[in-house]
Amino acid sequence: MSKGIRDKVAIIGMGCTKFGEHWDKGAEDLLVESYVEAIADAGIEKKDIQAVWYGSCNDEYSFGKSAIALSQTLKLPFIPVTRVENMCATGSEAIRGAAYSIAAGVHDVCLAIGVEKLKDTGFGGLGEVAANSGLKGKLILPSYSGPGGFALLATKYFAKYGLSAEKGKEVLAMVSAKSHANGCLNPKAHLRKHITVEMVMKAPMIAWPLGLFDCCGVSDGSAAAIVCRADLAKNFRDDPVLIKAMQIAASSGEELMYQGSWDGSYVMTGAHCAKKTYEEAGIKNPREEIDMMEVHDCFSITELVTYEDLQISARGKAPDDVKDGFYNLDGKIPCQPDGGLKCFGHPIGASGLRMMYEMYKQLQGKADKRQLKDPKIGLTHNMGGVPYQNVVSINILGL
Amino acid sequence: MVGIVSYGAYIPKFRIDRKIIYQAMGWFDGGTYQPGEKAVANFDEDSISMAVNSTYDCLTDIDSKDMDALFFATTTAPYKERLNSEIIATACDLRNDIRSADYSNSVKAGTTALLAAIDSVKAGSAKNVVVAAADCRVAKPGSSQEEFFGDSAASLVIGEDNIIANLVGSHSVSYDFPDCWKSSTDKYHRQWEDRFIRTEAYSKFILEAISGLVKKTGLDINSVSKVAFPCLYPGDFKKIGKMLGLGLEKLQDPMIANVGYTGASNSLMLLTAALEDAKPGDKIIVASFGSGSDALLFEVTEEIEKIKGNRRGIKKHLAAKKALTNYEKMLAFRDILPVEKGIRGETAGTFTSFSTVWRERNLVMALYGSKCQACGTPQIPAQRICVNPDCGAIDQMEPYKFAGRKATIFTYTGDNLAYTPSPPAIYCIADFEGGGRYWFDITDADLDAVEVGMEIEPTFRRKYKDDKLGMHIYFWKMQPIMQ
Amino acid sequence: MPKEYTHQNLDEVIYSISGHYAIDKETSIMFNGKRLMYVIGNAKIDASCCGEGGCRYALIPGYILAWKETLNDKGEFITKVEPVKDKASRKEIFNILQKKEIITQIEFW
Repeated sequence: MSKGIRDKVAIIGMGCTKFGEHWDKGAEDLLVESYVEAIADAGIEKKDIQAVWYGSCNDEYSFGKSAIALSQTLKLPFIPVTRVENMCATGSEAIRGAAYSIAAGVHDVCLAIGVEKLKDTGFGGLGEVAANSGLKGKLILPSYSGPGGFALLATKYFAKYGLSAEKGKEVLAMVSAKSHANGCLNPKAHLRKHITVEMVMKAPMIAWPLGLFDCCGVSDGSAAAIVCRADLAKNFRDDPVLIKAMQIAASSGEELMYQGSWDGSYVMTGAHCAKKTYEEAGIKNPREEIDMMEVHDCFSITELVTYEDLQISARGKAPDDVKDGFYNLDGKIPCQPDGGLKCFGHPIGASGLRMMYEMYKQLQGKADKRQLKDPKIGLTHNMGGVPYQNVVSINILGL
Repeated sequence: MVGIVSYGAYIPKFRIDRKIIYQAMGWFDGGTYQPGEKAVANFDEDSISMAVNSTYDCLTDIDSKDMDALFFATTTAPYKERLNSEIIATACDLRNDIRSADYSNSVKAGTTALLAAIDSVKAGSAKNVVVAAADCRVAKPGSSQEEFFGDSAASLVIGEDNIIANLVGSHSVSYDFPDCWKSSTDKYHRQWEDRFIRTEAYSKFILEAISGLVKKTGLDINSVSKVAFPCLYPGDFKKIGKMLGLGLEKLQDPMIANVGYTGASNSLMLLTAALEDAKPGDKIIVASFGSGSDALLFEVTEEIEKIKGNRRGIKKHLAAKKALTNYEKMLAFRDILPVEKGIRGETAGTFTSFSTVWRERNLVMALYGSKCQACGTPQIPAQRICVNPDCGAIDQMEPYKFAGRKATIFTYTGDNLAYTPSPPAIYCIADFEGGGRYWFDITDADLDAVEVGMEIEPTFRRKYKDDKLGMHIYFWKMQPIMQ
Repeated sequence: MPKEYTHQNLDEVIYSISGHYAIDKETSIMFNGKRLMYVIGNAKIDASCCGEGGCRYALIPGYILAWKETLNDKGEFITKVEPVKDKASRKEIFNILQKKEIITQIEFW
């Protein structure tokens, strides 16, 4: 009987670039920056790295769909390099590959690194989603965008719990305002600006009921992690961070193609994945046992619903927790202490690792002005796709 | 005997008041003003998509697999090479051991196709033939034709059983009359001066064809209930009637004031309108115009009562209209006014694969999915492994057609970021009656009129045009159910 | 329930990570015998992770109860408003503003 990955793998070094519109930097520059910070933090040299998992999603914009671009950029000495892609959860997928190899006993020290260079396309945002969904998808998928997909979730959630449009929008505004306040404290964030609920409420709609401040932006960025066997971790540093759980769930098609139990007001993969994650980490009561988290706030509604998918807020009660400040920096479970996607933007291949970077620094007590009091368990939640067909990755890190 | 077995029609929902066109372009030529409104195809419609929708209307209670041929008449075929009629036949789910052919290059083509269908049935080479006529003609801004031309489609089934109107006879005249033309590279219609067309052709050819028909069939013109022919010039339209000895009440309303002059589909559209109001025993003449004229005489049978009321036909389409209040939008829909698509619109996305279109033709063209024989769950696109989480049977699927099935909106949104020629992009997850769920674009709807639980139905549309590769790609969208 | 509208400097650009907006006009009309406040904003969505767009829009805080009655701690004026809730009035206001203003979106508080 497998016991999962709990306590088998440690993170001994991490790096993360400043996220933003790097008109003067290519994907190569960003990769080198996060890599250099990570190996310095781990106190290792290139020769210590035995294998690499490299995550990038829209690689056609940076340097082509292969692992060679990375091995050449970092001048890796003929070692295994695997390029992974799993939509917006690509960064999390990279570290999962590296960590699993170590847990399997194949390698001792691996690098997981993710990057996305989006600001060279000549347009804001990602490419046409439907047009890039394969040759069959191009023929049949509706013209849609991310905000539209998540707006479907918002309207279902509001309807199910009897939230008026005004109240619903106000709760979402509070979710955004909280993340922006946190992001102001973070020098690596792309946007460092306080926003008020009032400012959010005066902005126009993008896809009703999601407005300008409910949607995250695009950025360039890279993040990296050095993982190693847990029993060797103390050889590298005194304060390694242990992986307690590492799960990912992908849609079965039930949500989009079957008139089943799903009512559209939550994310099925998120709920399934959370259950498995807690089993793996041995967490019985997440609301009491988790100290902090970084979740995938591509849209404010995603964050709100995720509180419930993660079983931290009861179904329909997330708005109450938001109003009570439960997820604020000084709340019971601070969420997005680094500012989240709202302040970092979303360089797809890097985001999952960026979330872990914050948890890692917090656990080590190195989060500067954002430092939480003595956290022991942190969670990251990284989602790719739209609410009715997606992947959700949930990971738990601890000391 | 041979005759009409069924009729159907399609008129796009958008109507533009001609005042709006005149207000925009009257400064250029003050002599273009015409009263009334005209039907304008949405950005996702063309002659093929309209012909498919009118043929579905025509085949409402008829098995498409009983059809032995499909003839398509148009002057605005999307493809010059690739059989337009077979695209329609595939979308309408006809068999493959059939004949299909395009009739084109004259607005008379509608009746030419109709006569060809009649001849096929008479000759015994087909039992049932679909004739679909549609046109979506583009005229230059500031021209009279810009106000005059409307878009529509009409379909008939010609056969020998269950005939609603027997063919009594026909007469044709053909002239190489150069009234209007398009070269192989022209986008816009051109024409010689109106006076020439009126005096030398319009007022002569129709008269000649109908007179020949009357003579040939020994018809007492007074016994005719309706004569349907295109109205190019209102004064001469009435004059033709008068010279035939017909009162105004015998002339079928040419629908210029509410639809416009609809090219190759015009005669069949007028015939369909006449059939909608006909009773058993009525005699109806239909005539066309363009490089001559075809005239046909039909006598309505008792069978017509059986199909009355269960077609959308002309009347329901006339009622289901939406005002297009923006002239520039009409131009943008027809690619007359280039709009900025942005670098994203210009460069993003993969190419279109015709081998994929071919392999997926049942899905893309006729909206086929599959139904699990183990648990009975319909699913779209067709799956190899059943999507029902409690089933999961492998390769126990049978084909299941979703076209023609109603659905309800599970959830929807109006999206201001997704690219569409007519923002916002409205799309939904649709739950089909009887099972099956998928997401679709919603077309011909106002965002504030869309709601969860609302009934919708599939409609065949042009999904996009690939200008680089010269491809017209079709798929199904959802529209609010037409009452 | 009354709400407070905080006046901001006209044309002050408010940035989010996915774009920006500015309010360029604050005005009111008489409607149903009451003075109705609305503002006109311009927005550009030029860096959203999922697309590009923008709009000129009207935002309707509601009927004015007390115009610039108080100041907040930043020295900004606050107007007390009663949001428009009933559907029929919203529809009517929608039609009026669509004719009166050059806008593509109307939002009610």
